[in-house]
Formats: sequence, C-alpha cells, structure tokens
Amino acid sequence: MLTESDVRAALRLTLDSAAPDAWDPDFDFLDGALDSLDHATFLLNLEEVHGLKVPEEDVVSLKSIRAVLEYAERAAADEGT
Amino acid sequence: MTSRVRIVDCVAHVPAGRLDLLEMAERFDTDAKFLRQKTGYTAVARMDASETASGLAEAAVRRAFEAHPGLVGRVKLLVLITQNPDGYGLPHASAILHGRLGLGDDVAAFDVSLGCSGWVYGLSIATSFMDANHIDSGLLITADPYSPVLDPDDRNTQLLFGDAAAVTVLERGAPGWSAGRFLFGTDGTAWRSLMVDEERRLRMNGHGIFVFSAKRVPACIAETLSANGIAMVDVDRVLVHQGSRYIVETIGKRLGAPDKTPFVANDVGNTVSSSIPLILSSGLCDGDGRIVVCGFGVGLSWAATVLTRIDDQQ
Repeated sequence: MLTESDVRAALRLTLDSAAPDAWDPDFDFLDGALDSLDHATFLLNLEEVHGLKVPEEDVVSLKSIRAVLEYAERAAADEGT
Repeated sequence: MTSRVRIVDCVAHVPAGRLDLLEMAERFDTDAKFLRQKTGYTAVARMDASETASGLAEAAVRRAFEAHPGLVGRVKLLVLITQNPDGYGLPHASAILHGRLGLGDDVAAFDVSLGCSGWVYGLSIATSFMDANHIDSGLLITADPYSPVLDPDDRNTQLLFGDAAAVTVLERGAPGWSAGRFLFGTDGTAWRSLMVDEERRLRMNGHGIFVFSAKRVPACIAETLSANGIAMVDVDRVLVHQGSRYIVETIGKRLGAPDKTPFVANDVGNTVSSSIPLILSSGLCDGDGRIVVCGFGVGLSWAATVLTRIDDQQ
C-alpha cells in the first residue's frame, strides 16, 4: 500500500529537493510547485516504483499528497473487488 | 551483412527567421524560466509563410552540392522524409525537389511519411534501397516544416516546433559513419497523441508524449546496444531526437548517461526528423568513434541504430 512517506519521497526525487517534506497533505502542488513535466515525472515514479497506474483522464486530479493517497486507496480497492 | 553505404556528411538548412520565445512567453502567460529549463528553447526557427518543404530541402541539398563537388552528377536517389509536403501531397515532394534541382531522369525519388523517428527509419530505407539496386550515391533528406499546421493560440506547440531541413549524404565505400543493426517500433494505439486535426491544426498530448519518451526510448536504446553487441561504455555519445530539453535530460538520466546525451536545439526548436542530422551537421560528433541514435514521436513510432566511424575506404 502506498504511504504518505512514499509519496513525499517521489516528490523529493522529482524536484531534487526536500521541500515536499514540509508540505501539508492538502497543499495543491500543481499551483506553482510542480509544472506539468515535473508532475508527469512524479506519476511515472509512482507507477514504476509502486505500481500505481494513472489513466490520463485522472492525471489532473492528483494535485495533493492526500489526493494521491486516496486515489491509490481506491485503485487498490477496485483491484481487490 | 553490414552495408558499405556510409554517411559521409550531414548538411543543414535552418531558415533565418526566429520566434523569440522569451518575448512570446508573456503573450502566452508562460514562465520564461520554464521555457529555458524545461523545453530548453529560447527561440524556434520559422520559415517564410510562402516557403515549402521542397524549398527548405532544396536549400540544404544545394549546400551539400557546394560542399561536395561532383556529388550532383553521382546522386541516383532522393529519399525525402516529411509529413508536411508541398501542396496536398500529390505529387510527392521529392519529385518537386528533383525538378527544382534539375537532376537527371535516372534518379529514384520518393517520400516517406514519418515524423520524429523518420531520419533513423530513412537511413535504413535509403541504405537498403542503395544496396538492393546497386546505387553508389544517395541523399536522405528531412524537411518537415510544422509552422503551417501550428495553432497560433496553442502555446504547447507554438513554443516548441521549429522549421529546418537537413540532407544526409550517403556514399558506398567512402569514409564515414556506418550503421549497425536497427531496431524499430510502433504503438498505433496512441496515434492521437500527436496529430493534425480536421482543421489542419497540430494537436499534441504533451503528457502522453513525455511518458512514452521516458519509458520507451531508454528501453529501445538499451535493446539496440545489446543487438549490436555493445554496451553504453562503448559509445561516445547518445543522439536522441531533440523533443525538448526535459525529455532529452530525462532519457539521459534513465540511461545512466546524462553526460553523453546532449541537448543542443535551444535556438532552433524541435525540428522533427531533422533534429538528429542537425546535431551531426554541427560538428559535435566529429571526434567520436561510435554513437547511438534514436528518433521517436509521431505514430507513436521509434527507431534506433548504432553508427560507427569508418576512416578508410573499405
């Protein structure tokens, strides 16, 4: 199961910065902190390291740490049903 | 069997016109820092509105003829890579080019409809055609001007694509670059990712293209090295299609070879199938002995091979 620590690690790797450690889980990182290419790299990392596949229509909704965790939880639940 | 057809030179023609992207950034409400650091382009080349693919190609070929005396009489093949040919694509732009150059009627000329993978595909096609038909001298030309199909209000494409042409001079048994085994691939399920729509405007799914590039290209290059019996340590440089600085740097990192994977298209833009021969024409690889080349994009399509420098007339 994807954890908050995993998401922050992927963000740190993407930005090559520790700044994401200080972000509130509801912080909208698409509002200036990550551009579209950073965001794509972040999601690619989640897919390759944690197996979280995100269809293109869902990409823009994953704009905070909490949104990513809730999405991963739903994806895991759907997989289990 | 390895072909004795070699790349003896690459000659570029980049139109003088430039769209200054740092000026355009304000109009498109785009951060200039994003342009410099991510797309990597500070300007993109723009041909005159009246210019055509065959016109760009002609300028490049005439430069090649000036640089290689006697070539004009030896050339028996024109392969033109374009998806934006003159007029409506009939006749083929390579025939128009043939006429503009005043070449003889014993010259084969045909177009190949491919985008950013086109130069690598074209190298295999031209080399094979020359071997099969005992042709000693041929020209592989890339001229795919995107400016006529760009939406003036679409920053994703306006600030990315540039117009240019390049000619790759191929001669049998001459010193130059020799191609090894090629690898090709296609993912036609994603053809909508980069397409011209019903209004003749280019549409690009930037996210999809980036993910495709980051995942597919490093794997393709690794397979190509393996198919040629070599490893990354054996190549001096990795020339990938110059889709954007971020894509090139991402590929370099994922290959574990960032220092071998240059981005050098900052003042011309993404010139589609011309981006790799433009690097070769710049002299950047003149001291190299072996390089790997990979083109990728429209289709989605990709192709790669290894080029080894042969210094004598084998």
